[in-house]
Amino acid sequence: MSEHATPDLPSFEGITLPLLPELLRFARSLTHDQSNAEDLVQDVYLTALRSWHQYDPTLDCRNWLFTICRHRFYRVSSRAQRQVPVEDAELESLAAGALTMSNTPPGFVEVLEQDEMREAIRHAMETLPEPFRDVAILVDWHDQDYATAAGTLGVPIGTVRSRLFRARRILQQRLLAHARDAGLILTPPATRTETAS
Amino acid sequence: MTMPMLDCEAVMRRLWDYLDRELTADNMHELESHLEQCEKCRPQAEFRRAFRGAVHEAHEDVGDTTALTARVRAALQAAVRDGG
Repeated sequence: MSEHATPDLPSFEGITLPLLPELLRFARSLTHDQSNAEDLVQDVYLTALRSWHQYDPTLDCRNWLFTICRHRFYRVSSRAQRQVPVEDAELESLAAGALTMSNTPPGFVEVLEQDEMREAIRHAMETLPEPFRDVAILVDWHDQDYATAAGTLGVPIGTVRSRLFRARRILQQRLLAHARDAGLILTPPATRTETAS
Repeated sequence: MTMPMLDCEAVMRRLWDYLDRELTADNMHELESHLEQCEKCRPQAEFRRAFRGAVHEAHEDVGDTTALTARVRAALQAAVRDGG
């Protein structure tokens, strides 16, 4: 275990292993693959064990493991995070409003709640462009508040807000297109204006 | 003290923050009051709330993690043994 004292393994396991199912869900969201997600989780635990002396027990261990998981994923997969311009979060929220008012057919809410849309929602979420996907996964799937997600991602809260709102707008556009393509909504397609730059 | 009524654009700008419960108590109350009275903004809030709920519900469970837990535990024990 390198230069640091050997950690108390039962104590480490007692705190971290109950979090494994949620960590696996997060890892799978990143990797899109069960086997790769399991490898990533094991890697996260070994990294966490080596870094256990750095863990501040006053902080939420789940968020600490999520941060390691995300770092390991991007490092192992050599996927550089794409830098995106930081949009104005409130303009994103306004744009979502404009999209909904002009473009959402009656019955879309009911369609979203159908079982057959769950897979489409998962796919749409997991294939969002990375900076938007990560924040949406943390907030919408793992119930992190904006400040916690900002800590996990290492970005300002304003960036979390703008990316989250953009992610939701892209999701809304994709799911509307999917529902139309699947014949779940019988309205003419609108002009697609997805903005995932 | 009576607070000035928010206009619809101001509500739209903060609607996600409201639905995510990220506003202060005063601001939450302000938006809530507007949404109760505004027939233009209320459907928007209802749609976004349902949309957010559907996205949240779509996150699938990972199933049984017993085997992975055993595998991770074995890897941790080996790391401690090899390093200690």
